[in-house]
Amino acid sequence: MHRKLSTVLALLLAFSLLAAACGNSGDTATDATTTTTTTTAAPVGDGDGNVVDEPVVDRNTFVALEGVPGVSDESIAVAVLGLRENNPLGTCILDCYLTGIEAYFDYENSLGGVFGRQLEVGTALDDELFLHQDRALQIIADEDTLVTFGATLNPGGYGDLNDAGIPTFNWGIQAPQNNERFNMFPHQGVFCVDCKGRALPYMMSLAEATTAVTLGYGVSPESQTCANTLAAAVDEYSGDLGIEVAKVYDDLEFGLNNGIAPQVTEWGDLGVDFVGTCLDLNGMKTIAEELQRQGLRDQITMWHPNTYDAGFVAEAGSLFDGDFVAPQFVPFEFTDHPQIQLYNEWVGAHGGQTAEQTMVGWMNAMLFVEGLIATGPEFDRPSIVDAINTEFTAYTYNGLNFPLDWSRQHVAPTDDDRLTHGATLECVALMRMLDGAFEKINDDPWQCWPQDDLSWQDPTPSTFE
Amino acid sequence: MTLALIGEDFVRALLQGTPPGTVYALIGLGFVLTYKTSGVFNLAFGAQAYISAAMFFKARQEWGWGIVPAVVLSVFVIAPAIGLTLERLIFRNLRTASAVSKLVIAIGLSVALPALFELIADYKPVAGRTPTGIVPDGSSVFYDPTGVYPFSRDELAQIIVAGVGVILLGAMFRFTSMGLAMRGVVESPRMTELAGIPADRVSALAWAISSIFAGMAGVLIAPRLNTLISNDFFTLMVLAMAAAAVGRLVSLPGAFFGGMGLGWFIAVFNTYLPRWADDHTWLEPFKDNLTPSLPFVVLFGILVFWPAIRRAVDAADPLSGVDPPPPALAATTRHPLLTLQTRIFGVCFLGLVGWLGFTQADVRWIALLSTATVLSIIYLSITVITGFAGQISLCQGAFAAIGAFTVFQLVDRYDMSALTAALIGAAIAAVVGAIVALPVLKLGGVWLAIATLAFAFFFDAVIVKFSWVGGGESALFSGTQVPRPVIGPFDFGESDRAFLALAVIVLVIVSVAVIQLREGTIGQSLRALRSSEVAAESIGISPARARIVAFAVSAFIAGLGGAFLAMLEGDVNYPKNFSPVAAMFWLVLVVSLSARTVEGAIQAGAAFALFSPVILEGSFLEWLPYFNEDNLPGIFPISAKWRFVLFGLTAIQFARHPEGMLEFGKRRATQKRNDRYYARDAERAAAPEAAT
Repeated sequence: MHRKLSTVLALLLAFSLLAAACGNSGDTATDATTTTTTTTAAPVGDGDGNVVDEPVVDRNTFVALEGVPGVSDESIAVAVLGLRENNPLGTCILDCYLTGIEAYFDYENSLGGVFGRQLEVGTALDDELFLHQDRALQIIADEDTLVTFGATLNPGGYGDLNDAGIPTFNWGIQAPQNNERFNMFPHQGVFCVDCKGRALPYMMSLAEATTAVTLGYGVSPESQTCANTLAAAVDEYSGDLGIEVAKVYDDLEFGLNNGIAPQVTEWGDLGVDFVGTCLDLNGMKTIAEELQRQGLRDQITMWHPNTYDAGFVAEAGSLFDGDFVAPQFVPFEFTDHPQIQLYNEWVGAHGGQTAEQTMVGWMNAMLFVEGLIATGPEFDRPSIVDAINTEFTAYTYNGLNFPLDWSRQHVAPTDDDRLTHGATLECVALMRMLDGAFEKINDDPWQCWPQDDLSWQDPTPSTFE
Repeated sequence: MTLALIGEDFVRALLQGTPPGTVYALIGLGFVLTYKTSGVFNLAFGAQAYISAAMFFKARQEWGWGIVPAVVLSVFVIAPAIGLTLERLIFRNLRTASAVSKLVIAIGLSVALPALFELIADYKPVAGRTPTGIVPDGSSVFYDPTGVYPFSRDELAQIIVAGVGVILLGAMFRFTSMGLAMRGVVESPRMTELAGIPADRVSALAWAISSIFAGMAGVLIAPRLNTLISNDFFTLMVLAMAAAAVGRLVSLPGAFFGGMGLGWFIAVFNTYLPRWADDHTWLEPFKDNLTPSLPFVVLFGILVFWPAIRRAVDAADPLSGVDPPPPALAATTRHPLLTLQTRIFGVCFLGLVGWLGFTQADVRWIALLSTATVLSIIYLSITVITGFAGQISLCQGAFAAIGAFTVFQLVDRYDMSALTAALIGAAIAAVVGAIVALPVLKLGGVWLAIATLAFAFFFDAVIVKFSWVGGGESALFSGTQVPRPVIGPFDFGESDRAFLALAVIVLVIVSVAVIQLREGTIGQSLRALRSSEVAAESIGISPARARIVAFAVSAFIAGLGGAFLAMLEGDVNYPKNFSPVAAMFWLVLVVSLSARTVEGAIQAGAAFALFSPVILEGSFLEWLPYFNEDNLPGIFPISAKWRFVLFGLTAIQFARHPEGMLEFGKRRATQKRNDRYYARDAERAAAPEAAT
């Protein structure tokens, strides 16, 4: 026995000595994520990145390229990586996102393509919730696509794509996986996770509410932090607007399997008239049903961060009447908006459905194409990244979004310093729900506040067309 | 006692806890019903319930059927058909198998059945398409007889069915000969058949009844879910285990009141504790941490502190006596020549794989090979705890996560070497493993599995969110990134091949250690305990000490593997790598292939990492001369759902070959040649004697 034990101990000791004598990869290396190059991009654009409006470079110029992945004389192929199977929310992610990209490519191809080549989706991979890193490595290994598009819930492979120097345009709901990765292009930049935004206080003032609770799931640090940040925002402007937070529930059990009846009863006792949440759309429905059951639905208005889903809301009927949603782009209901019209035309022609993910795919594809055009006919991956990161300093997706500055917005801003890496404007596109549909609350899609003056002020209705 | 005396808040809390309590009661009753009638702790109950619910949903909301035909189809046709199929194909052969064996198969079915149904029925969950119940306007019409809290029609239907169910089923077991026969068949089919009772028919009827109950429970529960997804049924099932535990898996009233009590307790807790925490800040951490984890804390508490659970024994055939010791490993009975041939083949095969891996593989295949290697390390922890000690642990994911999070924290906070941190993480996991083992030592069989599962879910709901574990707010900005180590001139972050080599070295070291452990005193003690605890104790072996050591060693290996998995992926990736459900996959895979051998763990690691890319994606064809990526047959890549179905089939194979499919295959494949070699030896030995 002693001999066996000695062998085990000896192995352990040898391993320990080895371990003690080592360091970590990247300790002395330079930042491997910074792969921008000093390649001089073709002079183009008005600084907004809106090169479609004022093309400087002839997008039809053809230059034969060799050794650029995914690029042939006829086509430019991209990869799409997203979630289809095993989606725990049951929402349409990969298919809708893919539709948006393909519809935008259809549009661009109808204009003759880019630099004499047609745009196409070369690879579309389902990460099946937990295979994102494997799929990302597959894209890297195949080396047959120029850029990658991504929309998923669990993006374990973004680091690999970034480190491989592959420009990756994505549904940017995950700050950590995009933060300080300069080849990544989340659709609204890397967002601030702890900034005390003015949207919730503004919604409370619109709803003439005074007393709020905020909700987050206990198992998710993102959801917890979000709930506390919402509460801090209300506190910040409580003196200006006469609003207050009655309570923060940042410990809810995921899925609300036990219901939320005791908490709702407490809201009634506390005189709550507004609920700010950081929950998924299924959780929101559970809460709304409980409010209805306890007779509080008419008294309490809610903010839904993830419920801009026409099918979901239509199924709910009048359950969400009066509640707010905040889409991450100009809402579809702004049917006069030229980009919404363009989107509807081409997504419809492609046979796709109007959905949040479809629009995100459309926007991601737009940034890629405009970045490509800005790069010029002799492009490769680094030069595309370089063009976007240096020239697109007030980029609005042709008015679909508030201005983003890609020279700064690859790093998550903080509440203490919103300007160094954040957008110059804090904007929200608010909608209300009525009878299972969305309604505009303003003629302009965006309500914006300056980031350099955090005192309370009414937002400026804005459009960035 | 009047309402005023009790307090309106308390009564309201009880009423508010009633709807979720009824759900738990229905599931708890389902657990007890299946266990009493088949001896199976049926973790596939949620899957069966989901299938009926989805069938009902499809019939009602997609095909436009009426309520009655939809109920008939989903509850009285589909559900018993599934039950009868399972009984005939799987569980009939398992009546006298251990509860643990049945549990493993049930886990496999819990994954396979929903996937198979979705493939066959072409069902796809859509967010917001909330299922309707079995009564018209079930979710929109409310009744409030107390004036305190209203119930919907759907909830009243749930309450009535659960109440009537406990009475009728209780009466069936107590007063009918069929109920007695069902219990008898579970206890000993051979004895019941001696008494002239057709065990097969009784068993089939029992499965049909329990499956109908599962189907009815699914249809009743579904309206509580806003989107009909199988995962939610699994989650509810895990939450409801506490109810089944209150009923000790044998008492229907116990399970009913356990479920209702759990609902009431959670509602009362959520009513009063937040208020008290407002006044007493020291209660705040309890509120924060217990709220999301209460069902698991209750379950763990019941298992550990309720003496009746410790006295409960798994249903076993009294005629079967003590379990015979497992058969000797195939390798130990091999002829020396065959052993030599096997080793030569193994070395050549590994050499070929190694050569391909280190020279031909691209970045993805190197990552896949590394994943297989690192998972093999983790799976060796299952070899120790389950293969050697015969204990079912469903919290190996938590132990592995401890190793991974330790590396993340020590590197992030103290800039420690990742390799040193990995060892410290493994040591911490070992300590936690020993601590977890202490309260569950007295539990056996299925109860130990449930207790470890409760710990895994507690870890998932509470421990991970602590900033000193999961990183808290700092992880919001940078995730839980983990670097790879540097040893002298070797930077394993720069070279994926070098990291694969490092992982292989660690796997070899751990494998040697595990073999040494198996052959040493501890291994022999565990083997003796597994064969007969009474006999082992009689020769001075301490079961408690041996099991604590087994848990600690197993947790150490899991922690080490977890640390390497995090280093490989550059991030802890907790939800993907270490969630309780992922760990259940691990266990089923390892025991289905071969839990008692090192090569079993390695083959399980390879299967987990490589089966999908090699087989389901059709890569094996791409390696052939004719095929390439563009001309693969249209069936590739095979749907991800088939992976779950195949996983379930693998688990079902465990029913036929409890020593593991690979161990069985190894034995069978070499049997003839082994016999031939021994016969030849005998002839050679006999020849000189004859000549003499």
